[in-house]
Amino acid sequence: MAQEKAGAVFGLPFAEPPGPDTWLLGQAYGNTTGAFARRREWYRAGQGIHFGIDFSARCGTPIVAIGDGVVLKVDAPEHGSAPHNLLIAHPNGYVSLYGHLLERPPLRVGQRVRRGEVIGLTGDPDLTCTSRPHLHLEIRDRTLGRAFNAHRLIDADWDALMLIGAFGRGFQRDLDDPRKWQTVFDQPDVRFGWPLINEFRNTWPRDWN
Amino acid sequence: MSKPFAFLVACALMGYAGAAAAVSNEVAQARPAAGAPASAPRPSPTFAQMTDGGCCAQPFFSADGRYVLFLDKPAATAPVGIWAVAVDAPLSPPTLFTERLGPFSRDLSLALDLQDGQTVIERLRDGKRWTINNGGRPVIFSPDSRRIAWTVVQEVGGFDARRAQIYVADVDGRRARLVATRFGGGPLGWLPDSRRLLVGGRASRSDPSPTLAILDVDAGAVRPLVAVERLRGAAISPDGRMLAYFVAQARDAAQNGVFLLDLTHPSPVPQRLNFFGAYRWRDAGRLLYIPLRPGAPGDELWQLDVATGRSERLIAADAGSPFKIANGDWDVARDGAKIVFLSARDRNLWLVTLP
Repeated sequence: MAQEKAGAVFGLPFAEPPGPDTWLLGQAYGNTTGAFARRREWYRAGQGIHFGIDFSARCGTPIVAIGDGVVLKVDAPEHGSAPHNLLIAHPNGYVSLYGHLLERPPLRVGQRVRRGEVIGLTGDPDLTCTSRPHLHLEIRDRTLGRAFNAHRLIDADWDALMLIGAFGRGFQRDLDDPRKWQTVFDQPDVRFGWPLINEFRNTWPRDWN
Repeated sequence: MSKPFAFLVACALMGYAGAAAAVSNEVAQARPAAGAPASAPRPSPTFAQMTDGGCCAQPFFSADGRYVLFLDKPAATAPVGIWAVAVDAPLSPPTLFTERLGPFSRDLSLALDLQDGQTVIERLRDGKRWTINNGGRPVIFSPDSRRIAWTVVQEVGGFDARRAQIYVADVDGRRARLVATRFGGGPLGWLPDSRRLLVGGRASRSDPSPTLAILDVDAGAVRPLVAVERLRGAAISPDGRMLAYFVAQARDAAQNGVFLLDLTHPSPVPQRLNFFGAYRWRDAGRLLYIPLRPGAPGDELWQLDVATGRSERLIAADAGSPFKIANGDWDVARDGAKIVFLSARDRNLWLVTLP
């Protein structure tokens, strides 16, 4: 829908098109069923939802900057996404965070990067490159305290990308308002350290063990 | 919206016609090209808008294919439940199908629920409920609704190495037993005989690669089929003879793609298909698929005849068509004659009647 593209100021973090040999959408931003199941552990910091987009890709896949900017941080463990991460500040006020990188990016703080420039390589948070290799990409504000729905800010055909590959299929339902947050575009922004927003009184799928 | 809403309504009222001319051979290996395109053009699929107001996600069909179903609470005072729109009454006010939310057995006779941390099955016919002693884990119903299977997965370690213990029981929870242990895998689905499970993963931690296998839960026998790394999207054909799956980002790029596997063959060889995208079985012999083509003006729907290897396009990409699927939400009716999908154009549910 047209309004969903209006604020899409960034590009995708890969130069190659999606496909089985390159990358696929792994997990959408938002209150995915997979994130909901981990809301009190992995995603507690981001109010319980998946506060980035996961792109499945083999370890060592080149990652490109989603926009022009300046390197803000290299390997900043306080922002998660181990084993290596990178933050780039963009002139439009956003900061992009690239997580689970294979190695420390060969960039220095303050260095200018151009949109489409290779800035790192995909890795695996489990350090095996066979478990769940992927890029975790966040878009935050300049304070780094707020994460935005990156689907709204990256120009891509998310509907096509949702057709195949997603491993956290669907979004968790609040049964008091089951239409809430049911597409990639209406997922809420979050503030780090604030309370969970998905401790629903009644939810579906059920909170299985 | 890329087209005025009135256009989409017109599609619903008049029946949007998708192009149906293209034919190709999609099976790249093993199967010869068969025959020429049919001489008479096939009738075009027709579209009908089923819901309005941006409703609803994750639709599916009733077992008899007469209703499009979806989880909803259409008004503040309405109960949450599975709501229905009859396929022959597009845009009619949804009616409450059941207040149970599922997951359901294939025939929609049984619903699964979680109550006080316990797994509960309810027989919808009479409301009888019983508890399954499995630690509050979800179960998958066998096709005949007489058995259940569940998995106890180790919570530590890499996802490709976690131990998965597969349990099977009668649907009432009796005769629960451990039937197999896999590593980095688990059950991919029941075969139609309700006796065999398709399983993935490694048979032992030391296995060099995951193996797709058929597990006979009565005999306790495992029949390995083929080694497949990073298998995803397993879809068993309705007759249980074929498996469609995809592999992405394998160490050997030659292993990537969408494949068909003959489950009846003693030593099946995966057949790579000449597309990459989403797929669903239409019936035992035909696979519907949507090639992944980001940026295309709309989705295309193709149909592969497994016996001949011939593909034909049922719906062409068209910016004026409602056929642009959102969320990956689409389902095929049991009779193979209809598809329901969530349209990215207007976030409503649409019905496609296939020729």
